[in-house]
Amino acid sequence: MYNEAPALAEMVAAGELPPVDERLPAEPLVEEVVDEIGIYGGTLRRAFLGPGDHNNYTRVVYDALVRHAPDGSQVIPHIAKGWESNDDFTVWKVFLREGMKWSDGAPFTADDIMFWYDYILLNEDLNPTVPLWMQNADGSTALVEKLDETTVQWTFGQPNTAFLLDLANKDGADASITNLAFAPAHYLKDFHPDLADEAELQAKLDETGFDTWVELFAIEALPHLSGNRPSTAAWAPFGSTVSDQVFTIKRNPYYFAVDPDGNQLPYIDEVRFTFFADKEALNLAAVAGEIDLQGRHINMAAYPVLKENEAQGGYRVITWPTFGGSDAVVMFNQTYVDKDPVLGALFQNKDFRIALSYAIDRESIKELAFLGLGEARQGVPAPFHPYYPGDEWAFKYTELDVDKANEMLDGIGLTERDADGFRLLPNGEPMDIEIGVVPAFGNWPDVGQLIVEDWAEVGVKAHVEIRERALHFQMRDSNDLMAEIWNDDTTGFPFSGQPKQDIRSTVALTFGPLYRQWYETNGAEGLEPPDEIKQLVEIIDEAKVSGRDRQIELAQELFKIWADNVYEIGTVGLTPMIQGVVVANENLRNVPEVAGNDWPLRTPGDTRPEQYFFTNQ
Amino acid sequence: MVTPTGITDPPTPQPIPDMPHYSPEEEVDSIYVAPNWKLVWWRFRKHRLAVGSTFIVILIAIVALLPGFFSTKDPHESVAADLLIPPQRLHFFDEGKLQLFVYAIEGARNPETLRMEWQTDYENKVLLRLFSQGYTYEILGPIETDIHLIGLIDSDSDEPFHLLGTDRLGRDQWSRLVYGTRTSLSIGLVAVLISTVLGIFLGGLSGYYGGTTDMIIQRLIELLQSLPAIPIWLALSAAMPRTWSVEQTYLAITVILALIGWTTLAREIRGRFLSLREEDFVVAAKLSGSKETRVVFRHMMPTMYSHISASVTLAIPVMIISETFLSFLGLGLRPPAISWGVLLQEAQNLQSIALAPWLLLPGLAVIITVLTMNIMGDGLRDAADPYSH
Amino acid sequence: MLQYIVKRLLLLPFLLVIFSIFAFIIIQAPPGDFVTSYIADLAASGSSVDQAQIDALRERYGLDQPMHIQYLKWMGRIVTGDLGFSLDWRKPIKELIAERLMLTVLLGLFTFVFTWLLAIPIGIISAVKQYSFLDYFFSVFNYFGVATPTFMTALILMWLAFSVFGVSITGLFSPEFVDAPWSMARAEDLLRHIWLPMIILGLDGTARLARIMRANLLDELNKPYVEMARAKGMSEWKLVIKYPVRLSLNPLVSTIGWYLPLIFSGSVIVATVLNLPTIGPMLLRSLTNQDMFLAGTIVMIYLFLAVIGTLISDILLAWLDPRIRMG
Repeated sequence: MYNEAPALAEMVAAGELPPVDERLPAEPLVEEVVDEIGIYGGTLRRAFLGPGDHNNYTRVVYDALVRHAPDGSQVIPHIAKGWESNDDFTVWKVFLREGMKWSDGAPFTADDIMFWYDYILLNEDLNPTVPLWMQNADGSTALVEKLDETTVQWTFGQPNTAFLLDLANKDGADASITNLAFAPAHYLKDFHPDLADEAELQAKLDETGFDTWVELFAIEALPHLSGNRPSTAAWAPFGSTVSDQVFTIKRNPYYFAVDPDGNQLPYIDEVRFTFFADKEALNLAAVAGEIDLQGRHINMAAYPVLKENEAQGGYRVITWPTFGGSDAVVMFNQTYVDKDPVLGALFQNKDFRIALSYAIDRESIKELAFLGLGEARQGVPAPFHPYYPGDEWAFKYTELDVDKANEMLDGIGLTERDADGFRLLPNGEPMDIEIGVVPAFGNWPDVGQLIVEDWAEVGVKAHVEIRERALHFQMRDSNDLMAEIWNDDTTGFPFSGQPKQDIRSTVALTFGPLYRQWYETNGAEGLEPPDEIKQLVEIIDEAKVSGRDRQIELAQELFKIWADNVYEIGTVGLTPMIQGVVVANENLRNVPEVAGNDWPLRTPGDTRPEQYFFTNQ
Repeated sequence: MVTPTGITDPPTPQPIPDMPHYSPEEEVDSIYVAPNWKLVWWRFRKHRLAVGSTFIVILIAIVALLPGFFSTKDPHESVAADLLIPPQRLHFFDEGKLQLFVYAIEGARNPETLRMEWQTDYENKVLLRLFSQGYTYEILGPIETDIHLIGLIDSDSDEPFHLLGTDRLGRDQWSRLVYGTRTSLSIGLVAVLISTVLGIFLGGLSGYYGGTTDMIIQRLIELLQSLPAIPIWLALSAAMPRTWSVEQTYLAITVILALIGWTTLAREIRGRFLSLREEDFVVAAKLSGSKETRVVFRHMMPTMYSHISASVTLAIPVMIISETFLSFLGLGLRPPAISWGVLLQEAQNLQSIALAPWLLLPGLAVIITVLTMNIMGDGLRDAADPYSH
Repeated sequence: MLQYIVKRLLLLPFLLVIFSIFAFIIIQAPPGDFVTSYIADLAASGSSVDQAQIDALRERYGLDQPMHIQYLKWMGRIVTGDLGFSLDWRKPIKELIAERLMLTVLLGLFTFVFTWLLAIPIGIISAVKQYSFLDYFFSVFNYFGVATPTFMTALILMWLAFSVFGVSITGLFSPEFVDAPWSMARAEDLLRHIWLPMIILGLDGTARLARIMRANLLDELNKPYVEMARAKGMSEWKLVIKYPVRLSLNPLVSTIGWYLPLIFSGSVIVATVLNLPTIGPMLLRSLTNQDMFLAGTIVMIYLFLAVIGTLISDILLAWLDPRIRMG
């Protein structure tokens, strides 16, 4: 009834593998193809920067119970064939596919979710703190139960409408076992002290040289670290790991999806990730046509080079612009007042931020740092997104208006100037704003430099400080940053994960580290946030327990407040800056020309790489 | 003696061996009465390559002293419309008349590849003159002026004029190079001065007193020389307080280079002291009751001046190259500071090499400077060594 | 002599302990730890981590313990020969080094041989034909070798190889051979790639070595015995090769010990730019990622080899030049 890759057919003929109809679940996932039904074969070549770049793999396989749709507009079935919630969204049933199998042929059942819940999530050695998405409002842990072999039920203490969004990202990303929602019980029981034979487990530890079972388990629980751990993804490692010079994942003969004609996916035989120590060498490899599909680590500034060498390298360049927001924003630390009362008070002054927004020449930034691509905008979602609050807020305060900026700065009392024409602080001290920049996606140091020049025009002195990432993050945590430049990824997802509009998020940029502390310690430490910021938190909390229509209303309200208050000054957005300049082999098909591009979507995972194929022509 | 220097590509300061370049027959009678510096000069000027190099070094030093005068634009000013302009050729004669000019250029972004493409417009000339008026800068301290070596006749015009083209932010590369010269040369100079003082002091202590002092200092030198350079750089850079400004970082970097660089000179000085200690004239001075400081500074040090000056000349280029390596690793100076290392680091990418190769010109500046300084230093060393052949 | 060697060897463990403390302090000096840099890395490639993950990671890697405990744990492992585990690569350090050691040493040896084969003849010719056109030519060539930042040469040559010949020459193998088992074809592929790093790495060393050779030989050539031989009518080249060259090589040969740690580590920056699968880039990466056990172990092996190498050099020097007595 179903068709399979020739290599698998041979193995079936030789008796090494059960027939395809037995390998597929009773109701396989039928995946639409982008352009046409494909043909089997080929190797998809990618490049990665070593074990820390494991998300390169995570993004290709996007192996979760449910997935985000390619445009990010909704959640769609994947491993789970469907779900159901009660009316107030406190109880969620997830339905699995009957007869579905792991990449080693073992059955995939509700027990694999229960194993994750009982032995990983609830094990305090593995998870010292229960991840937020599994916590109830009162801090207790949500309940997970097996109803039958293919049905699992989550029960929360309060309505939870972010459940599916969260589930769509529980794919072991960040190489973290806290980021799982299912795991192969039959394989992992041998590594867990509650289930394994003690002597055998000790023997495994001695052999591998780990001190504790936790270290070993944390590796064995993820396919790309273990190499042997069975997977449900389209390609599985079969012995290869991300620590190898070339990490190869090969066709999973038990993959549960077929194309509309009943051909088992994936079309492509294997995906090879070749290690590069240096990003420039990786970009050169892309120009030389040694990469078949990749946007990650491709430098947007190299676009002209890539474009000019398309024919020679045998590839085409596609752009998948970011999903919204602005691709370089200046975010002011709202709690810097604790380090410097005078300067900190200025950062809290809305008029000050608005004036500085008017002072920025976004057209120049667009030309110099973004190859003329994108548009001047604040950090709100893209116009095609349901959360878009409207043009008024997207473009608020984005026009260059030096006179208005000067007027507003004078208006808030910054009238005294020093000999060089720079404004003095209200207490007569010189002002110098430090903009912290990490060279993460390439051209933020340049954007920072241009902004500094623009601000000098209105008498505001600032300078850019480029720091190494780890140091920058540490300073962010310790409330030492005045302002920083970052981007607005995940703007389309303010209610799940770690949105930057939620001051409680772990790495919520430098929005307000002490406000975050206030929430973390229930008001015992840190600073109490002002009403507008509390309002943002309330909106997010309400959205998590609201239905879809209300969520859209709330999101638009959230972004209106966000843009009105210019907590971050947006510059240019909707550019392909972040992993959006995609090099694709000229023979690679079914790659969409337009796609949502964001971390929660696991791009290119949302474009379904399992249905990519190489044409013969 | 080669001393491979650690897990590192960049060279650490080390002695470059003698390279005699003259022969004794050429010397004349007056050498018997000439003072030492004259002898050195006579021997030095016979080394033509070294003399030529010295002229170039002096020229570079003048540029480093007066960057504002030699620049044509404010090195920090970015013009969005002028990005990635290739170098414009300077013409000296216009229809047989002496007249400086460049041809005008026009540019547009290629809609397909998004590359900025510039065409020379041979119909229009941008006329230039010497000692023209431009942006205001400070010359040799607080004196303000707006006179530049070369610039547009019409100082209000915003016609592009870029001798070495512009970078990705539309900044004039010639001006940036000129300002970078000052930074890089002074880092080299200051770092070498610090390490020379350290080297002389510690090497001298070690060689003059010997014994335990010598032992401790020698072990310290060994440790510093066998520890690979890159981890030390990383650690020292990380130890810099977070709040330091560009100028402070700049100073700290020179100190870092100096702290690693003093060991070789210290070793040489120690060797000299060890052998001098036993020389008749030193023993005589000591026996006749001279104070220790007098023995050291009056009798021993002068015999080493020429040697030290050669070492210094040879160490500066090593520091200059080290600065570029630090920048490459992201540990050196950072924009908006301008140094050769910063300029090279900004050009270390595919798009610069492929689309704007002129951005690699600072590399040529490094090569020329290091080359001429080395040749000059070698010549000086040869000339200074009274025992060379 | 024997006594001297034994004395030096006995001092070795003591020296290494002091070195290891220094190395550990230096590696620990940058602020933050592996987890900070890991989180920063993730954020900079577009993902976000929650506090639960951060806590779990710190505890798992023992980074919440005081520094001296971490040092003692690490040393304990090194002493027992188990080099420990890399936080970044999630692999035993022994395996990581073993994987890269062969290619590193191979490249090191190739570069070493290339350097010497080129530098010694250049040095000899420059000295014998002093002030000739060739001498000046080589001088300038040598100065260029010293004056050019190697990372720049590497990048430019890489681009030229692509734009002129249409080949990308990053790494030491073509893509199809990167993880293939060893075969004639793979060895051939290696030879096709190894020349570029060899030349780039070799040029700098060649320049230095040639200048030293030239200077040493000039010293020898001016000695009376040479005049004597020349006066007796010995043919010039035979004369030069027979004694002066051999004598001026002696001090150079004794420096061979110094190369030991270098051959182990290979170059760092050039290898990173050229994407070579050698130990150097792994060290740089471990330092920037604060993968302290890996960085510490590589630096320790390096220091160990440096100490041994110095010893070898000293012994060689004494053996080649009997005039030097060992104290």
